[in-house]
Amino acid sequence: MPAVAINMWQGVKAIDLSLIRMGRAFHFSRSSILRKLVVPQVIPFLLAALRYALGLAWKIATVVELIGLSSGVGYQLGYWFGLFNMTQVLAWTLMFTIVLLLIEFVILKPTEHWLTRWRPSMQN
Amino acid sequence: MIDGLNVAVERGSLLSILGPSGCGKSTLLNMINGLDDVTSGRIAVGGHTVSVRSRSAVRIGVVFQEPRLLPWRTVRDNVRLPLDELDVPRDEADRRVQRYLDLVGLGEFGDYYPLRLSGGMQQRVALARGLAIEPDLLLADEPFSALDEITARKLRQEFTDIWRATGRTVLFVTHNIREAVFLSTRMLVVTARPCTTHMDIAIDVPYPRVPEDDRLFEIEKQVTRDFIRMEEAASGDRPAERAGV
Repeated sequence: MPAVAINMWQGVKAIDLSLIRMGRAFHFSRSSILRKLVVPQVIPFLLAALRYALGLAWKIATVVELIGLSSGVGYQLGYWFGLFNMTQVLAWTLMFTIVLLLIEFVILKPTEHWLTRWRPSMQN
Repeated sequence: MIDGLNVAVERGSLLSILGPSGCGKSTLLNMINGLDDVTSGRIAVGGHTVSVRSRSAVRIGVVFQEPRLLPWRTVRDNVRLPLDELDVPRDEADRRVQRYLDLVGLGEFGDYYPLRLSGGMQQRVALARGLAIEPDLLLADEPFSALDEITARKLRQEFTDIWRATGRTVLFVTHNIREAVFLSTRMLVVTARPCTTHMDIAIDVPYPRVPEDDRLFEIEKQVTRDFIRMEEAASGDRPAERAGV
């Protein structure tokens, strides 16, 4: 996952050092600086990396099923495509999309929203 | 960098250090706070010698030029942060957080996130954070210099009130002559490279002070004149360039 690693690297580079200096000025322990000042700043980058990794993982899994496995969405897609049954192909595609959207809107979005609730939104 | 700076700060006083930029003020604060070691000489706070190793013996609160709050924590949790580090019991910490938020006039804003507050309010939160650990010494590093003049003026006034109410010892670093004169019981003018005491002035004007006080103006004028002369002397034999040119 080089893309994930690069994203995390960017996140670490973007850390606000003035906050770390604040922690040092108040004599925080090393573990406190890491837990309370560094990790929260990296979280948005971690989330972006996770989302990207998740999308990529689904794609790869589907292609692998299509080529080499005898079950799964990818396999079903290939099978029905081979039989020229477009109804089944579209049905499987639709289901696949719905599952991904559910993951996005039921798990990822609320988590992200909760983790970044401190950011003032556009409305107020 | 700093040479021949020999100062004793009385408990409960508000000493401001006024110096040109780049004269080692930040280094001085770091040394007092036990983040840098002195190469020679000695710094003692409340009878304890300060060094990088022995820093836990005294409690020092800090207010920076910028608020330096954690944007993902509420105001209350921000003030609480250094208290958790000192293992202050929960309810005692709650009480203190509320007390100091009330003191800086933000008692109602405990549940707000810092990014929703104005710059002046954020700086008040930072002040509450510095005070909440009930420090032996509060270091203020140009805390009002990034604010607009009207806000800064109001905060200076409140700062002296809060300082008098808590009775803390404050070391206030600034490059604003008027601010230093208005706030402090005693001010130190230092030179750049090496940082030496140039003037040591006690300001005997009773509190609460008003910024327009004539006595303060007199002191300010005198210090300004001297400060400019000092700067000119430091910049070599060039013909005197008057300030304001």
